[in-house]
Amino acid sequence: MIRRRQLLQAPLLLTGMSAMPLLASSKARVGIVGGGFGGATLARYLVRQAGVSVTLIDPVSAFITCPFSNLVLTGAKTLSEITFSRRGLIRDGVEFIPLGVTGIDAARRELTLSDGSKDRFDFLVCAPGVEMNYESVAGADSAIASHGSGHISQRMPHAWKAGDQTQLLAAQLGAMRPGGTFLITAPPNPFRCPPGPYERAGLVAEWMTHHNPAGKVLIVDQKDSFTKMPLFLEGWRKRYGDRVEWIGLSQTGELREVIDGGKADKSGKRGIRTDFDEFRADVVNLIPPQRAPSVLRDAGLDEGRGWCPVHPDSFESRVASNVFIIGDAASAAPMPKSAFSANNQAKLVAAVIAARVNGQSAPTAWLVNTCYSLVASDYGISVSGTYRARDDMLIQTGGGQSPTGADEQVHQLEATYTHGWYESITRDSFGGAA
Amino acid sequence: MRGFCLLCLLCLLWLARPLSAAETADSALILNSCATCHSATAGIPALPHHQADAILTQLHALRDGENTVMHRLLADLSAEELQAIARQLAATP
Repeated sequence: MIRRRQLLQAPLLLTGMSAMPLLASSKARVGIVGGGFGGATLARYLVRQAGVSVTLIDPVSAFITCPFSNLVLTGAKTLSEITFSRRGLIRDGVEFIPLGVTGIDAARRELTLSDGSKDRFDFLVCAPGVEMNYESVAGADSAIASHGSGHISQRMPHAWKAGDQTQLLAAQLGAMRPGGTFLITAPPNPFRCPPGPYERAGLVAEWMTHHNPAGKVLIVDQKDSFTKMPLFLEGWRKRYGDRVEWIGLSQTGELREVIDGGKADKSGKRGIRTDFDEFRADVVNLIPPQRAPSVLRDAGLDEGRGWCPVHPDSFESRVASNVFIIGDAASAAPMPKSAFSANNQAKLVAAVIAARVNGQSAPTAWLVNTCYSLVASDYGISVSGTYRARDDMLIQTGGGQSPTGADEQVHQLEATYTHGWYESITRDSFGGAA
Repeated sequence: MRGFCLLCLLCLLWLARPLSAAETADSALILNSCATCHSATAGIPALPHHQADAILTQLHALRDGENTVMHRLLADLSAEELQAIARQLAATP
């Protein structure tokens, strides 16, 4: 059943990463596509198990976390403080290949890497995160074509993958005129980090109280409610008065067009057009709809639906056996697309693969998520969920949110826990400090 | 409408039914979930590793008490699951 290690060492030799050796020849090979919270956690938990060798493939040699990138946006953290090298993984015995994956043959569990080489695995786990989907944002493509001024994300940053985008949006925020408007377009469900746009709104508003006291934050949402909504609304009102304004889908309609480049008005303001309104702003943080990355969709792992369906008791693909999808790319509702969910699903898949390799019965899953968000740097709120698989469905069996109307001390404590959570999950996932 | 209410009630009863042995979650998996938040050196309390009985008392107190997230998470665990993770925590150095 378990294949011997393939003689496809060429990419490893080329990259000088061939640390895991022929000694591993009788071990089951696990290939992991993507080294974010899901892929890195899986690699660390799986490499401790007997009988497996673990190869993690990611073109990014140091991972920048989306959690806490809103604090980089406002200058409370630096990018290097949220960047994690692969040293922890390599130290644990994971083979790291710094290449992209350009093709997946799910039935053969074979990957094509960006150097053209191919590699086959006994188990394949895809944890590639999300792809921004600008196709559904009318005007985004035509704005690019007609003005030839680079990708829309250069002028209206999404900052929904941390790194250059975060720095770009931070620079735009810093350069904003006094009394300017920071517009966030929040995408339709499902998307990465459901509380993220609203945490961003609060932290930008907090930044404005110190640096741009007449500034405003406007959220134009492509839905009518969002996670922890009563808690965010309460926190914004208490801390920022009317500085933060939220407009929902039924009030303004769908996002129809971006106003960009030559279409900007005389003041140079960019903006968006919805069914019923036009909004102009000094900074536009356009967070587009999202989907599983094309390399998974091209492999048919999403069954044409944008996200990849899985069996909830194992997170094994519904399309191919011994292929698993974890993290944001998986269709795992009601679990949200969060770093915690990815980390948690990874631990389940590590146990499932270990059980299969060692001929043991499959573990019974209990899945959990907790998302802390900051309304302000000293004001935290949280939502938790627990999940079990029943009759091939994932069901939320427990959880809840912080209470509304709580004392400031409760929110201070949750802000402390937010920082503790970040330190802990990054240690758990990447095996070391930033 | 009455049929819908009955369906909802049946769903709730079904969700609230006790866990069978096969549905009892793997205690190692539950403990791995704990590690997500409890691996830090500051901010969030470390996991306890003393006597199993004392840990179980602590888990019940957290589940039944007023706190931020732990009562929400522990409320979903059965008596057997709580006992199993208490035993396993006690056995872990």
